Amino acid sequence: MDRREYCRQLTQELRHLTAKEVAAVRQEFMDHMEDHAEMLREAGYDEAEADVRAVEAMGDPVETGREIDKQYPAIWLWLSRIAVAVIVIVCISALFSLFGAYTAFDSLAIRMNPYRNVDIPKDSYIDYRMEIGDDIVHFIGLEGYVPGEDCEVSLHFNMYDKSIFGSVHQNLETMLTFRTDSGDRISLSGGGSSNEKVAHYRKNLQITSDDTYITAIYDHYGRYVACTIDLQEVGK
Amino acid sequence: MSKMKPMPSRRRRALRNCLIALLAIALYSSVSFYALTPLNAVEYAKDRSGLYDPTEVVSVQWVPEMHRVHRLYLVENEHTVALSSAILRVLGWEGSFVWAVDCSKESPIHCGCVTMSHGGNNDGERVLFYYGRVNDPKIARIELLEVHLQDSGIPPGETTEFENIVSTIELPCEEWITKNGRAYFLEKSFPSDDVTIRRYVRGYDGEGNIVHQEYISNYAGVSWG
Repeated sequence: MDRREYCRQLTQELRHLTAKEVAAVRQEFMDHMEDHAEMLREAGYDEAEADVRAVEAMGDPVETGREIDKQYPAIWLWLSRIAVAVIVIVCISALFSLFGAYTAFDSLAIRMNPYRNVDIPKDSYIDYRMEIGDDIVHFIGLEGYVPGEDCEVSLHFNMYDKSIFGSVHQNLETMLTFRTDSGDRISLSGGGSSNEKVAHYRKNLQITSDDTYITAIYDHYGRYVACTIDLQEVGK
Repeated sequence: MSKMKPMPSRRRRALRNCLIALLAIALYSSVSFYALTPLNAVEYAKDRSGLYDPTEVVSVQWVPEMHRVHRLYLVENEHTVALSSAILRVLGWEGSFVWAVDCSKESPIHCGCVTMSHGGNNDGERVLFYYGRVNDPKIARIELLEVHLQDSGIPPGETTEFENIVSTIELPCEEWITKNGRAYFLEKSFPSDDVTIRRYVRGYDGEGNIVHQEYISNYAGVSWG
């Protein structure tokens, strides 16, 4: 029996191995028999006898093959294949969900540059934050404010989740009320835009010459959060 | 003959692939609209709908009229009772918006209703869910009423008798669900097509007296294509 015949009889018993695994086992045995034959040649045996003795030293190929087959339980193979299938399914699904990743980038960008979606003069800038649950309302600008005069101002604010992967409450801006320091409710108009993770709104407010603060209030579901914007801080 | 690289053992390969699969699932869950379980989908919907505090599930129902795999969850905490849906799509569970009733303001009954339709037109099947919480221990039975428009505009709590009642659903206390010491109800109905309909909730004490009546202002309509 030569090396090839030995490997053929051995690999016939490898019923639970994949083709790659069978090839790896065959290569390993061939290499082992080659090394052994080389050793015998160096010891003085001729090539043909060295090959024969090297094959004989490996034992019964059928018995060896069966023992090796037992070392490859099927459960790991199936677990590996299921994991690969899950990875493929997730990758395909992720291709359809790229929008979620894009809006996460949007959420990150608005934190680094709150003014990326608006064009307001620097003397209108303010910086106040409200934390409502895991959402953040960031007041960034108060346009049109003239100290000591009745005026209509535009209050600009961004909203986003604390996590760049989290979603912002889609109707949060409708749940905010705005009052002056005298407690009067101010009638509101305005506009804005939003996606799953980021929103920017502008509220138009009527304030009087006596007002020095605007207070934004969230009071729902047992949670009360208020943020007072000092009108004297506008543009500083 | 060139030597092949030794292959990692089966177990090592399986464990490595499982780890990669878990990482892929975790990354996918963080950026995807779709969730792995219906409760995860409801949590995502809560995030989008501004329900910040933890809630517990009171009741779960299937709504096969809307989708083959559509689960409706009634959830609650001390200040809220809310309804949310999770629909099984190809890419996972999709959570809808959460329809919540604010229970932080005192009232004998907190009630909301949601009309669900398929396809966005009135020809498709429609389902109506009433949901809420009974806070007054004197109330032994509630009624959910559909009345014509000419009977609407009655202030909350005023127990006027209606003349034009279209439909009535009775819910005795035995049909309520108790959770965390609070009494909840969830009732499915099929809404009238009449656009002049207004919906009311009434609470009766043990002797049959009306102790509370209120127009259900917390109303939402949702449609799935």
